[in-house]
Formats: sequence, C-alpha cells, structure tokens
Amino acid sequence: MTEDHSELNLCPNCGKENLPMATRCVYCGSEMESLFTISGQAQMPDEEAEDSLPDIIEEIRNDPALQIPAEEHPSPESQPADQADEPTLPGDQLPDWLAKVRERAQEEEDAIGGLASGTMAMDAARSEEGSAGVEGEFNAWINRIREKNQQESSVRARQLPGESEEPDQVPEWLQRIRALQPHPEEETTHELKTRSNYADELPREWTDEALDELRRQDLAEDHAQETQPLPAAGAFAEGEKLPAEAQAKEPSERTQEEPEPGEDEFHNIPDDEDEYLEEVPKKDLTQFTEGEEETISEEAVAEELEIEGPEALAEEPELQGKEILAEPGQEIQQQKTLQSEEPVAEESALEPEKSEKFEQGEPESTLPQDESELPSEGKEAQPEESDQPRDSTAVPPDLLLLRDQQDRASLLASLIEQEGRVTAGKQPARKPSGRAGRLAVALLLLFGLIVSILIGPAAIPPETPKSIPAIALSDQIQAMAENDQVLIVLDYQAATSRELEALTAPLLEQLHTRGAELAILTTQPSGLFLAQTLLAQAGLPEDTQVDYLPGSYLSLISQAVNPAISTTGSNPVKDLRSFKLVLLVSDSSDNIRGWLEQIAPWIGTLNFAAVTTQMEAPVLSPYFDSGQLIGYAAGIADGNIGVQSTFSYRAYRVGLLLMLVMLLLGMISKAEADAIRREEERSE
Amino acid sequence: MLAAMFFVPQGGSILATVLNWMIIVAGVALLVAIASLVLTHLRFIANGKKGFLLSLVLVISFLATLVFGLLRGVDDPVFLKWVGAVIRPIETALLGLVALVMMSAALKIFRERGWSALTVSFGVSAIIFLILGLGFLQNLNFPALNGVITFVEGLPMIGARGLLIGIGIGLLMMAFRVLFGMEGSGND
Repeated sequence: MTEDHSELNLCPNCGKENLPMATRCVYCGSEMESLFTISGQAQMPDEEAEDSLPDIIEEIRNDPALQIPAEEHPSPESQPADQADEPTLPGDQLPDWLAKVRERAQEEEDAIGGLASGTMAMDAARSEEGSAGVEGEFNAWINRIREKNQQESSVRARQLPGESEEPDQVPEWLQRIRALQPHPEEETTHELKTRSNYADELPREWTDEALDELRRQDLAEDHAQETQPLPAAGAFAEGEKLPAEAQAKEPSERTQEEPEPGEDEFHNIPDDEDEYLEEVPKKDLTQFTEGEEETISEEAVAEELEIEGPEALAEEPELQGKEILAEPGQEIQQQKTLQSEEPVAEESALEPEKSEKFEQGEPESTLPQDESELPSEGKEAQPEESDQPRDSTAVPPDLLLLRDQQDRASLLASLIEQEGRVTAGKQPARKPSGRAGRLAVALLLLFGLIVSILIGPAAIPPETPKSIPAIALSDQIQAMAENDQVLIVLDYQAATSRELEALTAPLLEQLHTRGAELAILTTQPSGLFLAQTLLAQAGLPEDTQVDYLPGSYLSLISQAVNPAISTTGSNPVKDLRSFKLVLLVSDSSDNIRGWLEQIAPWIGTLNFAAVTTQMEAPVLSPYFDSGQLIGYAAGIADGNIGVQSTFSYRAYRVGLLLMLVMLLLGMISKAEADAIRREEERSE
Repeated sequence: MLAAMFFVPQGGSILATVLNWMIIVAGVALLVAIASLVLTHLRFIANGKKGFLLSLVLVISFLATLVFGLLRGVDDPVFLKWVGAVIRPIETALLGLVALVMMSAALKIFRERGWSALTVSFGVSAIIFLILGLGFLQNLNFPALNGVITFVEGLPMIGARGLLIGIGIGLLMMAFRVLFGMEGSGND
C-alpha cells in the first residue's frame, strides 16, 4: 500500500479510494463511518459500550502478556488473521477479552471485522481490475492487428486499379486470375475439375462467393440446362459474358460445352450485380469490369489456389502471354455482356468497331497488331456486331456516334494502320515562279519590235500636237541670233542616249544653222564618247571641242559663286554669265534641279532649257510653270520639234499598246479569279 | 552651307571654300571606291570564289582602260569609240529589261496586291496616260476633248510639285536631325 493510499480511505463496500474526511463513498455511496470504529469492538449501544470500556482497559493493563514491548507485538489491525489462525498462547493463558473475541468470532459471520472485510474487498476488486486490464489489452492488441490487416488489404485493393492501368505491368492478382481463367481449349476440363473439387470438398467456411455459387448452381439445376458446369469463382468474370459469347463460340466448343437455350431467361449474374449494372453509366463499364475483377479476384484466387494448387501456378507462365493479348477483346466482351441487359438494338450504336474501341478509351498498345493474333473471342466479336440490327432510331442518344466522331475515329485508325510505313512526305506547294509569264511577255515584246522594224521607221506625223514646253523651247531656239553663246551640258548615261540624242540632235542642228556659238561641256566621263555620236547626228564637225568638268555641277556652283575661279587655271568654262542659253541634256531630274536651284540663283540673267527623258518630264513641269525653265523637250512624244529620221514612232506606239494590253489583262485575270473564288465559296 | 546659301553675297567666299572641300572629298572618295572595288575582286580571284571569272574580266577591263587612257589620253577618238561601243549596248539592253519588268508587273500587280485604292488608282491612271501617249485622242481634234486632255496632262505637274515640296521639307528635317545628333549614321 502506497503513501497515497495510506492517506486515503478505502470504501469497505467497493474498495475505491476516498478522501479521509469523506463519510460516504463517492463511488458507491455507502457509509464509511465504520472505518472510524475500533476493530474487534462489538457494536453496542452507546451506554453499554461506555460501561464495558473501562473494564477492557483495566484488563489490558493488568494482562502480563501485554507488558511486552509494543514493537514485538503486531498490531491487531495489521495481522488479525495471523493472530486468529496461530494462537501463540495456550487456552488457559488467554485473556478474557481475547476469549470473548474468539467466542464472538465463532458466533458471528462477520468475525473478521469491517475493516478487514473492506481491505479484502479492495484486494479482490483490484485483482479483478488487473485481470480485466490484461484481458482488455490482449483484446485491443488483437483488434489492432485485425484492423491493420484490413487496412492493408483495402489499400492494396485501391492500388491495384492504378497498377492495372499500366499496359506493361499486369498486377499479380490479375495474372493469377488470367492463369486460372480457362483457355478456350482447356475450359471444359478446367470447369469440370473445379466442379468435382467443389463436390468433393465443401468449403470449411461459407463465404458470400460460395453461397453465390450454390445459388447459381441451384438456378442452373432448376433450369432445363442441367449440364451447365458450375463456373469457378475465378472464372466469374468470364461467366458474365456467356449471353454474348454463346453466339461467338465455335462449333467445336459448342459440342464440348453445353448449349445455352433461353438466354434471355437465364443469366448467372447475381441480383446485386444486376442492380449495379443498371446504375453504372456506359463510360464506366470498363472500369466496372476491372473493379469487378478486383473485388472477385482476391478471394477467388485463394479458392482457386486451394482447388488447383501448384497446377495453376505451373500453367501461369504459359497462359499469361496469351491472356495479355486477349485482354482488350475480353474487356470488350465483358462490356457487351454488361450491355446485354439492355435491348439488343442499343448495341447497334457501337457499329463501327474501331470507333467503338476508341470510344471506350482502349489503349493503343493493348490492341493486337494483327487481327489473326486475337483470340477466338476477339475474332468472333466482329460477326456478332455485324449481325446486330443497325436501327439507329432505337439507340439512346447518348450512345449514338456523331459523324464527326466517326470520322475522327476512322482517321485515328488509319493513322495507326499507317504507323511505321514509309510514306511520301507532304510535297510543298510550289509557287509559280512566273518564268512562263515573263517569257510570254518577252516574246510579245520581241514580236512587236520585230514587226515594227520590218515595217520600217515612221516619223511622227507633223500634224501631231506638240506639248507647250516643247513649243516654248522651240521658240527660244528660233529666237537665237548669230554669235549668241550657247552652253550645251551633256549629263546622261549611255542607256538613255538613244532617246536624248534623238531629241537633242535636231536642236543642235538648228542652233548651228543659226550661227550660234556652241560650247559643249560634260560633267561625266561617259559624256566624252557619247558627245561624239551626238555631234555626228547633229551634223557638227568632228573637231568640236567637248570639255570635261570634274566634280560635276559642284564645280559650276563654285564658279557661279566666285567667278574669279573660272578665270584661272585650265577651266574650260571661263564665265557662265557670258552664255545666253544653257541647254541641259540630262536623264536625271535631280541634276537639272541642281542647276536650277544651286547655280541659277547666282546668275540672274542666265536662261535654262532642258532635254530629258519622258520619265523625268513631270518633275520638270513645275520649274517650267514657275519660269525657271524657258522650255524643255521630253521623250519621243516631243520628237517632232525637229527633223529626225532615226526615230521609230511606230515602235514607240506598239510598246505603249502592249503595255496597255498587259495592264488590262492583269485586271481581267484578277477579276476572273475573284469570280471563280466567289463561285466556289457560293457552291461550298 | 544653309546660312551661306541664304546670305548669298556675304557668304560667297565661305561657300566657295566649302564647295572645294566637297569636290576634293568626292574625288578622293571616288578613288577609294575604285580601289576598294578592284581589291575586292582581286581577293575573289585569289580565293577562287564562285564567279571569280567575272571578277577576272572586271580587273582585266579596268587595267586595260587605265593603261589605254594613261597612254593615249581620255580625249583620244579611238579610245572613246571603243569604250562607247562596249558601254552603249550594255546599258541599252539593261534599260530594255526595265520595259519587260514593267510589263510583267502590270500583268501581276492586281493578282498579287488585289483590289485596293492604290492599285485601282494606279491602274486607271496608267491606262489613261497610256491612251493619251498613243496620240489617238489628240488627233481627233475635238475642242472639248482637247480641253480635257490638257487638264489631264497638267495633273502630273501638281503631283510633281507636291513631290518636290515633300523632298525639300524632308531634306531640311534630315539635315536638322543630323546637325543636332538625332540621326545616327547608317552603320548604327
């Protein structure tokens, strides 16, 4: 007994601990005043007790046995039983009070006293608590072990579907089921063996599956098909597809197996699964099949292992590869079986076999590459589907495949079929290079030029109206008097020499005729040899001086700004102010603008005229309009300002006409292409 | 330059000096360009780059012209005749290709660009001026028609004036941008 317990009072009734001042037990409510009574003292009325107490005390004092030191005598509370069982004194030497106590103990039932009985009750209660605690701990330990096993089994059951999703890793339980599932050739013998085992050895424990088997067996016996073999628990999934599979069975197998008449009346699917099948939507049918396999698998595997034992394990490696290949087909068969509860017309919604497979989310890797490798079940499923009625009106809307979905499925199937084949890459759309068009244009141009050349050059008719700038230029030249100095500036390239020389030569000829003093200046090196041809065309003497001025018109600007520069050195043009007319022969409007804008302001009395190409003429028109140019002649159109015989006006007009035709052809072809495109869009 | 151009009498001397600098720089730049061209083609020949035969022709022609011009002078009639006989047909043929390209463009412009305000206005104006260029309408001598033709032929002057004004303003703005460092060089 600990110190705490010594401080507390124990209930004599229930043995529970109570505080020292408690008069009643807080647990059982019994009075605890007996604890304060003296053990061995009879419960007498107060008066009687008061009378007998001095006598007892007197006897105790006079008792010589009690003269022994108190340490050597155990207290009556601590060892009451020892004193009672082992009397140390003979009977004649017993004191009177002890004799009374013994007499009273023999007369009364509760001779040991209330305190001793309470202590004994407490000890008994504690012993019961200890035994109950040990037993409870043991039970809790057992329960924990059971709960742990249940949790592990449930966790493993949850993990199996995820493992089965991996095509390459077939779970162990599924491999066992497939190994136990009868092969088409061995199905009959396997089922018979299973049945015989059941008949010989009844299961020790009647599980739900065993009861289901018995119920199915009873149903089969009640039915006319008495020879229906009792399927093994492991082959339960296969038994589900009996209605749909029966039509696909080969004749040889039909002879081995019992016929299945009255399929619409008989089925071996439990009632609870029927409810389950009705509630599961179509998309979850595959999962349902997997889940069903999982729920059946563990117990079924155990049963099958008990039935077949090492034989099934020995067949496992052989069957495993075949069953893996047969898995997609089996899943389809199982799904068909599940749908067999529905009207037959609903299966017509799954008409396209390929699209059906892809609608079901079949993994591509699980599909057999060759149809011939499919097991007999997979092969025989096709004619069954083709035999189904194709009345789409009876198909629920959720099972109908849209045309777009069918097209996509067909496309995916074709892509899968073409996988691995060597196919020609997509040829890039060749954009027309336009060489043919350019060749046609070139031929057309050549044809026009050749025709115009063969016909011969034709001068511009004299009655052709002249342009105003050309008329002004002609008038200015006509106004030149003898000995008037005229500066001719040649600033053009060889490419445009034919056009410019045809315009300039008549003007030079007129000037020369009128006796004007011509000074020919070129600002480009090419002007030196080009001037020779021009002088020849104009009929000028070959020894006419043509001066080259380096630095282009910048030198002329410098001379115009500082006339002193032009008077020194070997500058061919001594003074620009001495010229009455400056005739600019140029194929660049920029050079002409440079003359008019940079040099003319420094020389106020100088007149400028220009001969340029028709392409540059529009830019010079503002300068003519402002009076900075007294006139200009541009292009072949102003070729009638003089007499020239080398110019073919007919070829020029043919060229313009061809350009016009080409432009119109381009517009017409574009309009036609737009009309065709609009017509195609309208037809689409 | 701008100030000298605006204040013509007073800034004449400064303008002449700057113009001389410009002429010298332009001449030196021309020599540098010629030297660079020759060295580039000599490098092509040394490396055997594809088309080095054309580079060889260019270098040989350049050296022949240089030697011939140094020996006989740039005013020699024989020299000028030979040079003219080579350059004139080449450049004329190149200009003839411009006519071919323009005709092809006239055929393809609507097919490539489609119908837009720009292409339609271009096509209509090109057709009108091509017809006027043929001279058939002018030979009809209808006074009303001649007035219309005169008006239409004056339209290019309006466009050219606007073009010249735009060119002047653009040059002025570009000059200010360069002067104030707002315009980087072409190599940036």
